[in-house]
Amino acid sequence: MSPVLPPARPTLTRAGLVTGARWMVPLVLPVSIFGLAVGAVAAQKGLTLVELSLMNALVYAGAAQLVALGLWPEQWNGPALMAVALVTLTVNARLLLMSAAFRPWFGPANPVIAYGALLTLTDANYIAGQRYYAEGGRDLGMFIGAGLLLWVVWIVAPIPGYLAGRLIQDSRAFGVDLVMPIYFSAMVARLWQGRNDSLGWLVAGLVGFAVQRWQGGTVHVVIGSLAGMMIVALLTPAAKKEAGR
Amino acid sequence: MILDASLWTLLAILAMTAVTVFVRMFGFFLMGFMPVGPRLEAGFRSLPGAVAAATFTPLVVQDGLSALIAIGVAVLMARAGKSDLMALCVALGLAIAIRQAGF
Repeated sequence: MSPVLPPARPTLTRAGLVTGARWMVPLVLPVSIFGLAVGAVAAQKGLTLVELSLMNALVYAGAAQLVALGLWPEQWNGPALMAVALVTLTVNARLLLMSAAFRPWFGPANPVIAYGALLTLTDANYIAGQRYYAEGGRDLGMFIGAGLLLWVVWIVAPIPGYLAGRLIQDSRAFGVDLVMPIYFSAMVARLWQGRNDSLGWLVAGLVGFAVQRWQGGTVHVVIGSLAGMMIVALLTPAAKKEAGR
Repeated sequence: MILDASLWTLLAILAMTAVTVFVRMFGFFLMGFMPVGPRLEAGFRSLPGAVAAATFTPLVVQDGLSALIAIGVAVLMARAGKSDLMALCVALGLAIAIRQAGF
């Protein structure tokens, strides 16, 4: 159990930036390979290298970019633009929940730094950041360092993929697709705090699976996680006993 | 040329950027108006596990034995106090072995 700390203004240090970057080192290779794939798809869809790099730097959301590139039209018009924006919003909707979860940590910080840090929010620094916070860490640099390292990887890695087309023939045989699921699962396993989490995570998994079967796409991530989060919230007493409301 | 950029493509990239920046910031913004009580705090604390469960359950069902064993071993090793990196290496090694064996 982490102690309940008073909301102190979180720090932002160089040591924190380095710590965050270190957390992400195991993900550099799988993110690079994902980046190569996005680069190759972008080349097929006729994007220029400048357009691809601009997208990687500004959007910085791999799954959403891949799905949006799948919808990339040959001839643009208003509805095509709307479709691309909408699918990006849907795939990234989970970031809304993750962003909300950083309120207790980032809330007391300078808003410019807090919102600036959130520009680097991805699944990877969300999960690592929540682990770090649960262990008592409060340095914003950790979150930003983790986000920036993968951001640089995300800008660089698609370029060779774009130039070479399909480089990776069979990454599945080498388990590249499993690196992120395995690493994330190990990280969240440590956050488990008892029966409530077991129930909530079971519900999240079942709902996620059912919605994925029924709807396809990526909406199951949001619905499943919300269901699990609500179960845990409802199982928690409304006021702490020590608080003596 | 590969260095050009067309207006429509730039518009599409800007639209993708706008919606992504919105979701990255808006949850945090909204929570500024909502007091975080013990229930919400517990919910947020368990959210990473819920995200992982909702994301990876369909993947495990679809992928089968290699994903199931890899994730299961990683979770057990993490719970047993091994480092994340060691859990990753062992679990990934097992998954590769299972896949190379043709499962």
